[in-house]
Amino acid sequence: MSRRLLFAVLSAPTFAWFSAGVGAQELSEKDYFGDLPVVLSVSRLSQPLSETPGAVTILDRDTIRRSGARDIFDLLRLVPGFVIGHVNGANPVANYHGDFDALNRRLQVFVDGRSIYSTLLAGNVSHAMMGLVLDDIDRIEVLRGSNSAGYGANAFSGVVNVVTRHAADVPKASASVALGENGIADRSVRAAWGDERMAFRLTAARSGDNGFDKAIDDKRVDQLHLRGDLAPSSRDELMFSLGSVRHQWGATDELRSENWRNAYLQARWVRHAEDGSELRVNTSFDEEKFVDQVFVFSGRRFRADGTGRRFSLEAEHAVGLADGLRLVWGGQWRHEEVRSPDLLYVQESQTTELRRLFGNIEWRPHARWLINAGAMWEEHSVTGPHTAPRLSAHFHATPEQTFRIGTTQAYRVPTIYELRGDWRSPDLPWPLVKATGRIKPERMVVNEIGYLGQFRSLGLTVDLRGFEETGSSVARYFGFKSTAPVASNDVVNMDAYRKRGWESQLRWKPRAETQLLFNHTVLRVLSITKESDRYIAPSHMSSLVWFESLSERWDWSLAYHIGGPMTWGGVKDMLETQPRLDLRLAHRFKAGATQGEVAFVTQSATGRYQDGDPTRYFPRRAFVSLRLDY
Amino acid sequence: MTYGSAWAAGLTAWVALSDNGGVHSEAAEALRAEVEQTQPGRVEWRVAHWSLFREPSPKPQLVVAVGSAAQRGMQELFAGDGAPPPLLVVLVPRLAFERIADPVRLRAGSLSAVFLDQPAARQIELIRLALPAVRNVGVVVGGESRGFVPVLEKAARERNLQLIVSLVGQNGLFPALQSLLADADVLLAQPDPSVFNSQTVANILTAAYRRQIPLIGFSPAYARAGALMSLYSTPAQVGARGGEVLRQALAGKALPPPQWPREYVVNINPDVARSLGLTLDGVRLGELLRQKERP
Repeated sequence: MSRRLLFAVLSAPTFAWFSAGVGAQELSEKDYFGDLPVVLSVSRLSQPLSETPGAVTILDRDTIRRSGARDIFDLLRLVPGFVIGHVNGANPVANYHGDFDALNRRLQVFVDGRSIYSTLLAGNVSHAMMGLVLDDIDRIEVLRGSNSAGYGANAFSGVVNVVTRHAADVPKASASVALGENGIADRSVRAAWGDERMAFRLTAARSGDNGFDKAIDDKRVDQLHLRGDLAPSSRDELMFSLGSVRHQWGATDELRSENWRNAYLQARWVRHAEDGSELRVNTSFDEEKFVDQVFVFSGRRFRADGTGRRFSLEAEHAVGLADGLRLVWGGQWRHEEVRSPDLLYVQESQTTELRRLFGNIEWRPHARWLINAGAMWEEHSVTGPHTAPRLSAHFHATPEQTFRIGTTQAYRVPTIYELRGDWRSPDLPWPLVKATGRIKPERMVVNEIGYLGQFRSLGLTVDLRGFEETGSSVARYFGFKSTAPVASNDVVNMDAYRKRGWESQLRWKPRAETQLLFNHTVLRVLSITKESDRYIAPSHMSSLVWFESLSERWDWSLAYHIGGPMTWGGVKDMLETQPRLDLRLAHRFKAGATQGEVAFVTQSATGRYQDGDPTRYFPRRAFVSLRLDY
Repeated sequence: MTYGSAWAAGLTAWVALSDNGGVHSEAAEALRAEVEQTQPGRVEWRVAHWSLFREPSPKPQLVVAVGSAAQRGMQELFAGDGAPPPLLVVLVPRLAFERIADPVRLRAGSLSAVFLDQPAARQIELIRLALPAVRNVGVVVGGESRGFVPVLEKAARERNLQLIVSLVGQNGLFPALQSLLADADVLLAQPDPSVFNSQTVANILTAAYRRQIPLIGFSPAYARAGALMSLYSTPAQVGARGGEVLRQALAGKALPPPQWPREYVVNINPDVARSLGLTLDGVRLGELLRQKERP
């Protein structure tokens, strides 16, 4: 096919189609009696909050905009139970119910169905989570609680599902800039073209700041994302995306920078069949490189560079078996490959494979009852097979009130580093970590009860979750001794704990101009292996968020967060969590076909607070942002 | 296709169908049944495809045209007649009726209609009842449907709602739809083959649903396809109303002015409603709407 012909084929359906017949036909009674294909079949419709098998918080575009967030970590503060911390000013971490250290590895994060995490460094999601441009996000669905049965191993503490905007849904051209204290300089540009049949968007962004006070932890994130959405027929959706992210950060105590570079490629095809069933095929490739990464322990330097690659292919089929009975089932194959002489002490690449089969039955035995039963069977090439089951029941007491009860078991499979890590330093005669590969998947059993009240006439939504999360065979490898050759430099299953508590999320819209969000979590860590684990999560956390519209053009918002003290896993130092207040004032304007917004944001307005380490503080930061959409 | 009566009192009515069978026959049958119910056998019915009525004589006492093609055919057939028989058109969209209606006959009361579409006030009132949180009602219109805008605007204003209008221009449907979806809380579909047709509906529905904006359709096919609900009158409801109008003519009165169908259906798509977090009851909404319409 010649290039010209190919172009004609690609562009013809797009342009001809949408302009077809404008003003050509006359209205008649035929317009009322023509048949139409079923477009929004059950499989295409998203589940209402009252029927999701677990507690879900949705952060929509309006919330994202009005929060004044600069990255997804700022946004996750708005989700009950989420704890956000910083390794340093350039490396934030976030997890549901705390329980993290420098490697943020117990949270499952998806971007349009593509799981993002570090193949090389123990499944850390933090670098990849920085590779998101907030204005490209349509919504973030946060599943509070484990769900390995639905999302696979690593959906251990919770699932963050980022849904980016359809290429046809963004303005033709956008640009934004934020400048402020602390060296804040965020810039992004985006172009979009096409229509419902075939649309593309391209985003380039660079963001950065100087990090915390008194630390060399400048941050810079450069990213480029291209997404294409095609609808070859009314039954098919084709999405592809590719992009590149570079996260660069200061080495905290030395004047040099470290790098994480990532490139990804994804394609997804969804077919909505006439009978209401749906077939979904998703494939992705990710490559990452750590460059100049050095960890310093007791004055000794440990390099941690390397390359990680992974390939994933997944297929899912959703089908209605009978009235009120629906089955979703599928399988996945994932290949991981790591090359890191620094971390593994071998030149050759190390690989693992993961195979999965999963199924979930949604059964509606009565209009008021919904039962979900599912399981995922996984086979890991090193740790072998395991099965994660899940069972939940919903009872719609009234159309506005739903009670939920559920139980599930979740796993986190060890990463290549945890299985084969052999981490050495020229300064130390023995390895700091010498994994023997005996480690088994971490395991968690979660029981929960939930309540969701959606009182439309009052504009009020009440979401309550009571939980008991029992972790066992929790992997342990930080806090090892670097002073003597000890047997404990293996990565082993050691810790166990039980977290018990409840949390609430209240959303109230008392009038059209006002939106209030109140989150509250109470959590106790019980049955611990060692005393410092008692504080792997704060005993209480609260957030109050207030969005107020003053007029069509002006709005302000306020977010206040407070929580109890905590320690980072393996770190004994207690961090006094101090209150954080974020403020934002925004003015929207229109100039011809251009829409714009100027905003003034202050993060941590009440002053600095201790974060990550007793010597480090998140400083007060004020910045001004401008965004233009054409 | 002729229905005969046992005894003809000299009253003949032609029922000219735009199309044989289907919705046109359904409307014709309902119309006939409505008249027969009160005045059985008084009328001799001749029901046929409009093209089969070739000669204007012997002149019937009444002519009913079902659909646009039949209206045009019957108007043309009696164009040369100085005193044409009263013509009642049913099952036509108002726009289509007015485009070809003979203004002289309209004024003289020898031409009337029962429309197929719904009055603007009814459409807007339904939105107010079903979706009380809605402030901005979006309509995307083309060359045909832009005529609906003034009445819709008035109906919205009277109910403290804002009508946001997007006109499909040279750039096609997509830019118009996109700008509309940025501001609208609900999309109210207006019949216009250049905007809403079997090829565009899929894309309109998916684009709106991605933004969680419900669509309100004007035929049962819309609710089936994925609109949150549809407001429409069935051919039988329009036909029956036509029968009532015809009874007045049989009583020797002039035809009343063209009117909207009195009966209608609110049809909910329960899956879409549930997915949008809404609990709606179509029957109840219809009742509430009727209560509002009662003087």
